[in-house]
Amino acid sequence: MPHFDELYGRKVTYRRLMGLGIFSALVLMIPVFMRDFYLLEVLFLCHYYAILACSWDLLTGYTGNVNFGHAFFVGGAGFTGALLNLHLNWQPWITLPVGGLVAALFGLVVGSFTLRLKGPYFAGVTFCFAALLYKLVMGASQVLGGEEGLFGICGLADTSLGNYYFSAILMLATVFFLYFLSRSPFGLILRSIGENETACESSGINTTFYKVTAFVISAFFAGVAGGMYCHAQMHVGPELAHDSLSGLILMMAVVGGMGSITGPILGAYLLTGLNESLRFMGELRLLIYSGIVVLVVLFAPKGLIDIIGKAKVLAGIRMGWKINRHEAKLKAYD
Amino acid sequence: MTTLLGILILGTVWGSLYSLIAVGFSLIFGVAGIINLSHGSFYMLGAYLAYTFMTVLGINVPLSALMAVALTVLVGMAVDRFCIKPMRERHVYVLIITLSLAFFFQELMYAFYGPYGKAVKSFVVGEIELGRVEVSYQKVLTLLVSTVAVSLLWLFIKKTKTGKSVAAVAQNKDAAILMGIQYERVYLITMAISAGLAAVAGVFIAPVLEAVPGMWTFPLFKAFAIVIIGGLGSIEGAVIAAMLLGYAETAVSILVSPNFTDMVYLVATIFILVVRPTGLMSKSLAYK
Amino acid sequence: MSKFFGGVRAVSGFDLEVSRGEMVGIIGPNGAGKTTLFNLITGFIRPTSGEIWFNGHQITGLRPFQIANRGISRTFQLVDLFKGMTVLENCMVPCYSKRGKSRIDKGKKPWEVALEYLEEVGLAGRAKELAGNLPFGELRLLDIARAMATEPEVLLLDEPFSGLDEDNALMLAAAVRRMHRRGQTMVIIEHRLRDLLQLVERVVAIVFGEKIAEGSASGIMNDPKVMSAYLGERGA
Repeated sequence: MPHFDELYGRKVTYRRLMGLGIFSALVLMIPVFMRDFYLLEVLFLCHYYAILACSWDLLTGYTGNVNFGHAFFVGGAGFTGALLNLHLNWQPWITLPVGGLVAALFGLVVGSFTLRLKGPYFAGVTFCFAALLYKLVMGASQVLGGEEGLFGICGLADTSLGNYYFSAILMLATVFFLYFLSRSPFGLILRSIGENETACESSGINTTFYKVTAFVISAFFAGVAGGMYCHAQMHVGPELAHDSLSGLILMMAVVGGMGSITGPILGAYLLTGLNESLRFMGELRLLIYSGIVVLVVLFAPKGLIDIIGKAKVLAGIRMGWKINRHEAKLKAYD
Repeated sequence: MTTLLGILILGTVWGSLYSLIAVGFSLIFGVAGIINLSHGSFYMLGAYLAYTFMTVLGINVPLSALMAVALTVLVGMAVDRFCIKPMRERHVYVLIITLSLAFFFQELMYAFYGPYGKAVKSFVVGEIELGRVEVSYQKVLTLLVSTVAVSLLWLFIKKTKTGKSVAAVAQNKDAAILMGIQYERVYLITMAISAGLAAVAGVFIAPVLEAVPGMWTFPLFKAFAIVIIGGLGSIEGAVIAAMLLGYAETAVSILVSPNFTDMVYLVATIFILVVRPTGLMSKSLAYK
Repeated sequence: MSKFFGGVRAVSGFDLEVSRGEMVGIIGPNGAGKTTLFNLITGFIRPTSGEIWFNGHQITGLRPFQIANRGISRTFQLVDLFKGMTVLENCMVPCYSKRGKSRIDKGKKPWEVALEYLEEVGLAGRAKELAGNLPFGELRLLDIARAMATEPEVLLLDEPFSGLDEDNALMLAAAVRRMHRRGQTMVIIEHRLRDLLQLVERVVAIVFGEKIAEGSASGIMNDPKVMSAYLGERGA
C-alpha cells in the first residue's frame, strides 16, 4: 500500500484513517444497538448538519473567504428538488443529484463574479444572495409556498431507520470525499490561499480558479443535503434559505474547528445534541446555547478539534513519546 | 406631486436613520479594520433599554434616552475589550465572535422580554403637515437628532485631538503608533462612538417600530450594504449611500409595494459589487 | 529579453532593459518607487501608461499568477510566506502552478522537486518544520526557494538583505552567487549598497520613480546625481 504521508499535502496516516473507519463503523452500527426513534431522528439531523458544515468548511475554513449565505445552496437545491418532485414526479434518487448540480451551478455563477473580491465584500454578497432567495420564496406564495412552504413531497425512505441509513451513508460519502480532497494537493493550495493569497498568486497559482472550484464543490454537497432534508421532512419551506441556517452552519464549523473537515463534523454533532438536550430548559434554551457558543469561540477559537489535538499532544509528551512534528505544531500555537 | 414630496421627506427621515447606523459601522471598519457583526445589537439594546426605562420604569424621556445610550456604549466597550481584542489578528475570528455575540444578545432579549414587540410611546406627540404630507413629530425628531449626531461626529473627528487621533489610526496605524497614539484606546473610543450612534438610532426609532428580539438583523445587514455601496472606510460615502438607500426604499415602498423594500439593499449590493467593486467613494481596493 | 514601460505616479517615464543571465541592481532612497517597480512588473499594479514586454510578448495587464507562469518570479520585502505550513509545503505550492507542473509531469514527485529547491538554499534540513518557526534569515532563503520553484527566467529580489545579520547576509550572498553562476537572470533591489555592489554587474538608480543613472557597480557610486540623491544636495 502506498505511504500516504508523501502523497498528500498533510499526513493521512494510517492512524487517522483508522479513526475515520471507527467513526464510520459506529455510525453504521448504532441503530443495531439503539432503536429509539427519537434518537435516530436527532442523529439524522446531525448527519444533515455535518454535511452542511463540512461543505462550508471546504471554502471558508481553507481559503478564509467567509461564506455567509450557505443556506442559498441548501434552499435553492431543496426547492428545485421539491418542484421537480411535485410537478414532474421525479424521485429522490434523481432530485438529490439534480438539486446538487443546480446548487453547484449557482455556486459557479455567483463565485465567478464574487470570489475576485476581497473578504468582507464576498461575505456580503453571499449573504445577499441567500436573503434574496428567502424573500423570493416568501413572496412567490403561489409557486414556492410562501411562509408555509410546499407540502406533499415524497418521502426519502419509509422508516426512520431508512432515513437514518440514507443520511449516514450520504454523510460518510461526503466526509470521506472532502477529507481526502482537503489532504490532497488541491487542499494544500486552498490552505495556501488562506495563509497568504498574495504569495500564492506570486507562485503562479490561479487563486480565483481554486476558490471558485472549492465554492462549487461546497455548493454541490450543501445542495444534496438540502434535498435529502426536504424529502425526509416531506416539506420544504423558506427556513431552508434563512440566514439563521447560514449562521448555524457557520457556528457548528467554528465550534468544531474550521479548516479540518473533521472539526465541523464534531461541531455538528455537538451543537445538534446540545440543542436537543437543552429542550427541557424551555425559554432559556437558545440563550444557553448561544452563550456556550460565545464562550467556545472566545476560549477556543480554533475549535474543539484543536483543543483535542493539543490535549493529545500534552498527554503524549507526558508519556514521553517521541513527537517532533507535533512539538513543532505546539510551538507555533504559542 | 404629493407622492414625490412624501418620498423626499420620508426618504430623508429613513436615510438619516440609516446614516446613524451605517456611520458607526463604517467608522469601526475604517479605524480598526474589523467588521462588527454585533453592531445591530447595539441598535437593539438602545431600543430595549429605552423601553425599559421609559415604559417599564416610567423615567422621563430625556434621562431615559441618555441612560439607554450610555449603557449601550458601556456594553460596546466591554465587547471590544473582552471579545474583540483577543481576536484581532485573524479577521475571520472577529466576524465569528461578533456574530455569535449578536445571536447571544438576541436570545438575551428574548429571555428577558419575550417574543412580542415592545411598544414605546412617542416622545413628542402629533404630526406636522408639509404640503399635504403628514409626518409624525417623532420622525422629525429622529431626523434632527440624526443630523446633529452625525455633524457632531464630523466635528469631533476633524477638530478635537482625540478625534484626530482616530483619523490618524484609520489612515496609517503604524505611523500613528510611532507618534505615540495608543491604538487600543483609539479602538475603544471608536467602538464607543459606534455603539453610541447605533443606540441613539435605536432609542429614537423605538416609538416608530416595535422592539423585537430579531431587530438587530435588518440594521446590520443594511449597514453592511450601505458601507459596501458607499465604500468601506469612507464616512462621507456611508452617509451618501445611506441617504440614497433611504430614498430608494421609500420610493419602492410607495410606488411599488412595501413588500419589496427589503429587497432594495440586497439588489443594490450585488449590483454595485459586480459592476463597481470599490464602492462609490472607497479608499480601499476591493480587488487585491 | 527586455522590458520597458512608463507609468504610474510612483514610477514615471521609466525604461529598463535586462538581458539574459545578467544581474542588475536597483538602488534609490526610500520611497523612490523601487518596490512599485516590482509590483508593476509582476502585475500587482497596472501602469497608467506604457507597456511591459517580456521575451517578445506584452505582459502589461496580466494577473500576477499569469506573469509568474511566464517566468518572472519575485520575493517580498516583508517576507510573508505561508507561516502555518511546513517549509516543504511552502516550496510545494509553486510546483503546482502551470509552470511548475511541467517538472512534475516528468515523473518526479512534487515533494522531491520542492526538496531540491530547499537544498539549493540550504534549508533541506528544515523541511518538516513550520515556516512560522523559522528565524528571519532562513525565512528569506525560503522565500527565494519558493520563488525559484517556478523555474523563473527572471528572478526579482526585493531587499533580500534587509534585516539580516552578517552571517545570514553571507549565506544569502553565497546562494545568490551560486544561482547567478548557473545563469539565473536577476534583478535585485537593495538598500545595503555594500552587499549589493559586491554581487551585481550593472546598477540602475531610481529617485522618485525616475531613472537618474545607470552604470557599472563600481562606477555608479561616483555618479554625482546618485551621490546627491543619497547624501542630499550638499553631496559628496
